Amino acid sequence: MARPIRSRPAPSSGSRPAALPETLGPELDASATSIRELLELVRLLEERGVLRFSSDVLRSEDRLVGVLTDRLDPVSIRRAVRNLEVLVRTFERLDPKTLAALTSGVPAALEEAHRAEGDRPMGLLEIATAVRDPEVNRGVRMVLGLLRGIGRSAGR
Amino acid sequence: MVHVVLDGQSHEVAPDTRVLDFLRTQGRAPPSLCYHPKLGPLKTCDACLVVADGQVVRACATMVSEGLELDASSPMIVAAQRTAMDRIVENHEFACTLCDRNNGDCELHNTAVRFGIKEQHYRPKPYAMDETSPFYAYNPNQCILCGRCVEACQDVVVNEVIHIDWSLSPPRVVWDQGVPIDRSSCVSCGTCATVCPVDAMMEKSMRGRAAHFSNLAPETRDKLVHWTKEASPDLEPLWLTSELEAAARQGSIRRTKTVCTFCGVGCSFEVWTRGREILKVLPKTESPANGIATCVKGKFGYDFVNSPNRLTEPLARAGDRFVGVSWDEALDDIARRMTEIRDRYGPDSIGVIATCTGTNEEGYLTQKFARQVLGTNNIDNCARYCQAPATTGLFRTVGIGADPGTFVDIEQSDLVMTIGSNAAEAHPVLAGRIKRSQKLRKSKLVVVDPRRHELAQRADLFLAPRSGTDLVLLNAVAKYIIDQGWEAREFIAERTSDFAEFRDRLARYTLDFAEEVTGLPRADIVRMAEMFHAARSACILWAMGVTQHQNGSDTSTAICNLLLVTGNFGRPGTGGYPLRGHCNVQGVSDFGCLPGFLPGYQKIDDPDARARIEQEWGTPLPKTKGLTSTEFVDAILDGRIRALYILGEDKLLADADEAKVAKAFERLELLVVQDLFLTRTAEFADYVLPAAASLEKEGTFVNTERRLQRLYRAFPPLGQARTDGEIVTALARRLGANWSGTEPRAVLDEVARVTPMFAGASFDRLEGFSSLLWPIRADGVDTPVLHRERFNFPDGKARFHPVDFAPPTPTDAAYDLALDNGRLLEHFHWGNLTYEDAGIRSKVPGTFVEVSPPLAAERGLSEGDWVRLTSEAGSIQTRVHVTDRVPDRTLFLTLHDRADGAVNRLTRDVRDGPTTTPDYKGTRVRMERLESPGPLESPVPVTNPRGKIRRPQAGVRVEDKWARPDYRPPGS
Repeated sequence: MARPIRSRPAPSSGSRPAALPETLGPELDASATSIRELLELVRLLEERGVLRFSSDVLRSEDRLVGVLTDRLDPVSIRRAVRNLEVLVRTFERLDPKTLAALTSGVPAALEEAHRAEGDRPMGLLEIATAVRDPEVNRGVRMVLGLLRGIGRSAGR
Repeated sequence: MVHVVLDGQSHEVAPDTRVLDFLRTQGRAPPSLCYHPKLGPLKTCDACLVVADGQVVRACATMVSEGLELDASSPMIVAAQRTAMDRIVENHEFACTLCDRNNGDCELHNTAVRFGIKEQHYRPKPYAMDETSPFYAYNPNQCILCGRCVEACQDVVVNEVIHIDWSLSPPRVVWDQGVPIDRSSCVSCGTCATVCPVDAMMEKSMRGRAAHFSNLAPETRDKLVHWTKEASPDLEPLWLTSELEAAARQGSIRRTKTVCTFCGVGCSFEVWTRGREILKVLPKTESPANGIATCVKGKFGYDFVNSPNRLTEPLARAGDRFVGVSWDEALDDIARRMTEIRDRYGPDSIGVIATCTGTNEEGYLTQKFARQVLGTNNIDNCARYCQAPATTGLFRTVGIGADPGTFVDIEQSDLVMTIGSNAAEAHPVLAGRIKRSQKLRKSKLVVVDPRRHELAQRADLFLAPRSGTDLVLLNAVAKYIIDQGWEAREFIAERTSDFAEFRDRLARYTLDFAEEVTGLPRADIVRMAEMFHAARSACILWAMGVTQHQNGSDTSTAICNLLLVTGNFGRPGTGGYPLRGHCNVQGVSDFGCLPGFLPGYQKIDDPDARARIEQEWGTPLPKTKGLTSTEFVDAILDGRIRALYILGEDKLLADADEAKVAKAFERLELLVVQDLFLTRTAEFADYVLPAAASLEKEGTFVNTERRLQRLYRAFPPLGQARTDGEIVTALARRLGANWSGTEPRAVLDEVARVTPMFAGASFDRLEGFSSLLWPIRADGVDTPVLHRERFNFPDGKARFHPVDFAPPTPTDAAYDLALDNGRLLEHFHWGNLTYEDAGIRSKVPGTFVEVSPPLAAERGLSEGDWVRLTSEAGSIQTRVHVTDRVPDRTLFLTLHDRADGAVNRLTRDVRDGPTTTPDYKGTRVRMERLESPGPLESPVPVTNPRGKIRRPQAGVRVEDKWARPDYRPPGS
């Protein structure tokens, strides 16, 4: 006589994950706090979608490359890569000290330019007076040298 | 073929081709957003403008013609297309990287990218998002007003709920007369979300789950979108990042083709999953039975698969409790006890019930287990409860017990009659096709049913005869047609036999007699005959309202006789269609889970069939016909059956007279139940084995059309659950069978070897959304329409089979009310699956009885009152829903209860003679009011679509858009 049974038991041990191997026991105990932190981090990464995003990027590498190659104009990319190469070579040849002197002068130059800014056009006399200023004179020499160098390169 | 000129080049094109489709083949398609192949041209988006013979036209709405000259790319037409696209994107804010709809198939995104849209001037609409439905949401601010959802709702599934109110500024989609979704007549079929080209109408199950970062807080999301736009108004970077993000999503989103696990329509779709999470169900244009349509269960009802209530390990009875055991323990002990019982009492002391929600291959293995391993033909399935009488009617008259055609035939028929079927709730996707045909093709609809359900409300002729008297109506109509000389004489002479005897046996069925027995006015009976006479083609669809009566087989036969009299078999658009109720009840019957038939309806005494199978299996087959599932109960009680093995059937709730079945179960020496949940039947079991759901298995189903379709595994079974095929195989091996090749593909190959009607069936031929309708020849050619050349009898002729009306077994007069019973749209049977879904539960929390207003007034009943219904078999308690859907002295009880309101506590164990199918629908009860334990509450929540007022219209009414004063055609 099989009477109906209305309830079911809690899942037995068969549904639980297998126990961790014994050999890792001491190491796991020693790192318990770190492991808890790690698990918390994993939980947060999962909760915020970062874990899935990272996994998806890895799983979808081919698709992502496919999108990039489909979407980007190969001519533009080639041009950008070559320009990058030219810039790198230029930087290779530059004396770091000179570049540092130049770049460090830029903020001061911009500040000065801003201060000197005005609506009224400069007259010749004013320009001649300004050139006599040793700092302006040094700057003019540098710019002229720069222009000479560019002109020489362009001529070649 | 016609010739079309494009850019000076002439092309040969099929004449019935749309210009848009032609241009797509040439890689020259203009942008297009409102057009959908299953919806046709809606003409709302104006994007696909081209010049055809000098005129600016919509490519979606223009067919090719001889000599047509096309311009799709001149600056003028491109400017017009750009104007249209600019207007479209004004309605939709691009935030694709954060959009759950952007999975590589967002049509607006893809069109905008392809067309080179680089900026947008988004104009938000002053409407809030409607999130009131538990299943989907509407976001007006993302809606591009293409009208696809409206077209699908109005003219595909014909639920006629939504429209675009073009008079509003700006226009928007509106439910019924302007109510929130959850207060409307929306039946939650989800077709609107399926066809929406953007994220305006989207499944809630997708939100915050498909995209990587879409679950941001709304304020954060808005700030991020705003900041991005400020930083770069150019859309190019957005296109790139969103496409990269969408491509990355595919790393964890899986799309698996499957077939619905609920009714027998056989809807197929992709199920989108991430791990075990179900993101959405997406029917496809190529889904053969359903196209883009679904019902609420198929679209949104799969929560049960991951329910915490699922069985995840084998259970064994230990005294008065269950304990979890290992598979080995369970199977070893079951095998030992089955062997003992077989040895002690003989093989026929064991009965096996196959599951109608398992695959064909699992059904085949189950009957093989019964026949080869146990040595008995005691194998049956749930067709015994429902469609066996229909099969009998078809076998008697046309020789094949299955639907003779497809849904296309039903949709193309001039006249569709449903009898004893509430298709709009039990087979809603098929009902959509019937409604569509009536609405668009003006086909006629006759409904015969006690209840004024949706199809009855829509019918051109609705007849509600007295319960159990359909046979008289059918015979009377056949007689009237013959008396008028309207019978299909040529068809009858050439393609049928036994007409004269049939005609003579109809003498009794005069209009007077029919009027007296059925209670129908004679004018209605004559009208029905006239409609059959006027129709060039007619189909009759029937279901449980016919078959679950004592005369179910005979009434089914009368249906077929009427179709033969009118020549409605053997050609497109005709035939008699029993509507199967389970996803694979057709299939498990086809594959041999019947006590009198081997696979493919080969009789158990057919020597050729026996030889084929015995050679394949290497063992002799049992010779005597087995018992039916309902006979099992008697056999248990009288000691002939000692053990039952039940797969996926809640037999306690499914059989008539629950108390009798419970008594039988208690007498069994061994009961093994295999299911997803601890069902009421499983409560009696010695062993309960956890089974896999359809999404967790591979195989094939056969739908009600005879259509074989493949389903693929979306994810592995939950916990330790296994597929029915794996469990049966493991058990067979423990019982000594040397089974090999039991994986689904190999099983179907074996079926093809031993079953002529499946000779050409194979997994390869059923790849993806491909399907085949049996019989399938060895070369793979299938048979969409049966009986075209001959009927399945030796002389090739259909047989008239006279049937007579006999009054049903009388009931004590104290039981003064007829009790109809059946399904609701939202639930499936006892609700073992559908009550696991919170959304569905919110729509229909429980069962109720429908009572007519006059009867309610007479008995002093109000909406929500509790009543006790008592029959000769037992009594139940349930709540009252007052509605004019039921006639005065008839009640309708929904059957979705597993306890105190279970319908089969009331039904008597009276059966249809030839099939032993219970007479569920012939029940009579008395009703008494009970004191309500609390305040009265309607069992039909306010969020339920019943009783709401639909808003039918023809399609999307684009003419109303064109009539707006601010509308200027692009390119004008």
